[in-house]
Amino acid sequence: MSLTNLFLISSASLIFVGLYGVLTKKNIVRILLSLNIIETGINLLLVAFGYVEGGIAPIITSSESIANLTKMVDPVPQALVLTSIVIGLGTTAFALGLTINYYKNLGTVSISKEEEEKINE
Amino acid sequence: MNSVLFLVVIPLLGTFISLFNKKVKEMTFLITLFNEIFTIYIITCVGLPKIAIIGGFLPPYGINFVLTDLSLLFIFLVNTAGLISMLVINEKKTSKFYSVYLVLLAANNGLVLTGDLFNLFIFMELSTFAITALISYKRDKVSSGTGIKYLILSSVSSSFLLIGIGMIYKTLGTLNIADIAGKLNLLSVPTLSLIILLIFAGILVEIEIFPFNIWFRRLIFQQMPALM
Repeated sequence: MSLTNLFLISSASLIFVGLYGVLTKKNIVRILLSLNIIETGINLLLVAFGYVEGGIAPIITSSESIANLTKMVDPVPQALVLTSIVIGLGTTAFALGLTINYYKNLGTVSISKEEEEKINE
Repeated sequence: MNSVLFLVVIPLLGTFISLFNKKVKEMTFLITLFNEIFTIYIITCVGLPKIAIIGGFLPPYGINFVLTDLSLLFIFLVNTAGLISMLVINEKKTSKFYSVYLVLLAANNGLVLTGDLFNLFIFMELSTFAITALISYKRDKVSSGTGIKYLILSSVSSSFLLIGIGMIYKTLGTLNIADIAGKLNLLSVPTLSLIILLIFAGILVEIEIFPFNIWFRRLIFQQMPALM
């Protein structure tokens, strides 16, 4: 199995582990942890899309690196991953702030049927 | 035609100014009015289609904003809706409300105008944050519960959108929307179906079209009157 396939399989398993967590857990903090696992899986997937076996960093420093232009890894997915890491950080911080608000109002951090009825009162 | 960027930049600038300003409501109204007048100026005085190149990279490579007749219609709709909602608000609001409103205006203008697929994802996330902050503005039981649910669901769906965008970049090697439209017939049918499934699952959950809007109904009926 090549290294790229290993990256793809592990990122798909991370995404599905996170999806399972989002769909089954009732505690908001655990749901947010699962969201972060999904985001990590997507970041790994994007980096794996630009991966080259035995490649070098995409920075032109000397005449030697200009001679090896075809061996460079793709820099665009790395830029996308940097942006998506920042967006994920923002989502997590904002959602944790909302969770504090939820806890102050309802006295619990779980989303379930009882809390739905409490909200609807 | 790079001045079309003002539609996105000036509301974002107003967001930062509104954190320190006393007369927030008047400033927000002025910015919305400026956006509307500038949109009408673009519609009447500018020939189509125009491409605003950002950073000096020519279209298949850099980030660009595109003006076509479709995007002209939608920036007119977005800015008119913004102006109407500014006129409808009559209750007294804190300055946070107006900053969030300006972020929403900027994100929607960028979402309509952008010609780059990854920029579309970024503006979509930005508008999700703004909508969540507007939903949970009142900080009572209902708004905090629905706000956190909306944020979780839309984050999951936008991660599917990001997977779809990554697969488009892997198979076609470009992120420019016009370039993708030209190259789309190079894809095989299974790959195209997977990409369409992922992107539509992301977008449809976020904009609440019919089969995906069951979770959204309560949120509309209980929250939207509270925002006025």
